Amino acid sequence: MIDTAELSAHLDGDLPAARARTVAAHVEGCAACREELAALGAMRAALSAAPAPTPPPVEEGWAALSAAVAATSAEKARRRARFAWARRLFGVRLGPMRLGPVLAAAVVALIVVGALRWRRPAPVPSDDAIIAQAEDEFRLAEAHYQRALERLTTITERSRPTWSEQRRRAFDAARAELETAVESCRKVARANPADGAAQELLFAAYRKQIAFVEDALFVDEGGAVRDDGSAPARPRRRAR
Amino acid sequence: MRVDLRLVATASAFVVASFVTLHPMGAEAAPPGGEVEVNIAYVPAVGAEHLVIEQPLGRVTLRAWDRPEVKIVARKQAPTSATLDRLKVNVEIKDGTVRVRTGVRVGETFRALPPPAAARAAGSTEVGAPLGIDLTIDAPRSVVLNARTWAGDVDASGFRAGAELSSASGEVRASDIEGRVRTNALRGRQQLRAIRGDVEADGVTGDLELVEIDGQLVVARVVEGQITAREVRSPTVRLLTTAGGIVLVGTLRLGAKIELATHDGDIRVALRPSPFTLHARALEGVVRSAFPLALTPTSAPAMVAPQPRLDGAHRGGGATLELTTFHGSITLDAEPASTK
Repeated sequence: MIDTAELSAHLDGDLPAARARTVAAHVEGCAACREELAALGAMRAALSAAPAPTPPPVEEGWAALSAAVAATSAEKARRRARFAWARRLFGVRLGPMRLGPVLAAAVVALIVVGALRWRRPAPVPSDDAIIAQAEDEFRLAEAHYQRALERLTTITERSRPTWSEQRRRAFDAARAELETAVESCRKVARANPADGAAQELLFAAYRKQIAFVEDALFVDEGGAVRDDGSAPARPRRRAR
Repeated sequence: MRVDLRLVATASAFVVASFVTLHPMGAEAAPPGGEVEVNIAYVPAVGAEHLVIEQPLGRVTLRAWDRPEVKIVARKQAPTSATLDRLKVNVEIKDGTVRVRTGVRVGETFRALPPPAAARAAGSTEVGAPLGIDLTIDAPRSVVLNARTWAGDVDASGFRAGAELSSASGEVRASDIEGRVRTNALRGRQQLRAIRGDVEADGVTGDLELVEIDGQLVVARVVEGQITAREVRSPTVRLLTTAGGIVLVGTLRLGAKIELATHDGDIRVALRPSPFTLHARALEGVVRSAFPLALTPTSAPAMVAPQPRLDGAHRGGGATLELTTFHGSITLDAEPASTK
């Protein structure tokens, strides 16, 4: 099987003609490589042309649930009306499991418990505060991905001088392609900083980039690399 | 504290068939200064093929059962009742997919937004009480599961059609699952146990543990964290970590190809007696093997001293072990009885 970096270079037409023919012939007969090549092409197309995700719609289900809750409230109101005569007559509220003494005791208990547990009420966050806090969370996650990627890149750069020219070119081409994809996703995410779907798209692109650099690191320095540019047989890596 | 029991009766719309106020249990007492509400819903799931959970507000526990319905228990907590009322659980059934989402009401819209880390911490002095929703879901074991959390752990067990689980800052746990399992964690530990299917586990920071895996393919990688694999019986295994050790314990399957690689960390392999072929490299460390090996020419002639590279066959070969560490050492031992 041919490694992802070389498949990516093949996709870009960056391989020398002889090697490109070899790769093309191999891909024709190798289902796994065909699939990986297709996934690479699809991912590049999808990521670079990623449309701005729209905010999640207010779900029909929620509206229905709200309506159902409202219906329940209406039922409660009807029940209250049914026992209105008792309230007028006795000055207390009657109903299933609701008796005057019980209610009175409960009120006393609530007052006592409330007094014991009284605290300054916590502020209710505004809409803007909720969104700002979520954006902070997303930014922290992105920073974590970036740190991991920087660390991997630093390690990979250290071993780069030992690579063959062909491997360097293939790596650079694939890396540039992935960086373009990440940048596209980043733009979408920046334009929609509180949109979970947009952020998840960006995180998926980072994961893809991290997996690529990890593979490059271990294929090369692991000693199993062959300087003809091919990699040892390894499990197919799926597009994430 | 409020405890509501809501019965959802139809697939296309929600109908409250019963609304019962129960007495709070002692264990469910509201946290100091906070409010807690528990909602229970039953969603019919005859013919449901997929269950999708998008849970940015807390943890989710998923258990498989044999009933054609999904039971959802949502435990909300917030510093105030006003904030509590903004926390929502949304259930949608469409085209064979049951989708459960948690979110916050912002204006008139439902937004799947994570809470700030400080608000999730129990007893935080800034907010007085934790904020979020924890979900416990029972679902038909035949559904394909897809669950994502942001702030809390995701825990799934008993499903028979595979699972895809991910978390940003929680742990990921999967056990007793048939079918392909894919997991992902940004900052959190991952534990996969008793999986009868292919495994693909991916993490940035956090240890990863694989126990009793029987799929055809296991690929696990983390950037920072240790990978531990016990009784992984797959024919193709690939474990990669950049900063962290790798531990492999168990029996090698005949013909299996096992690739373990780390940049900064040791590799320890503890095996029950079985034939294998070894290609081990410790670029800045040493390789030690307790198993007698028939060396290939790339190895140094003497076996007495540990060396940075070791290639050979034990008992005529069998499984292939490719072990690589750049800054660490490699050790192969017979598995002690206590670890079996």
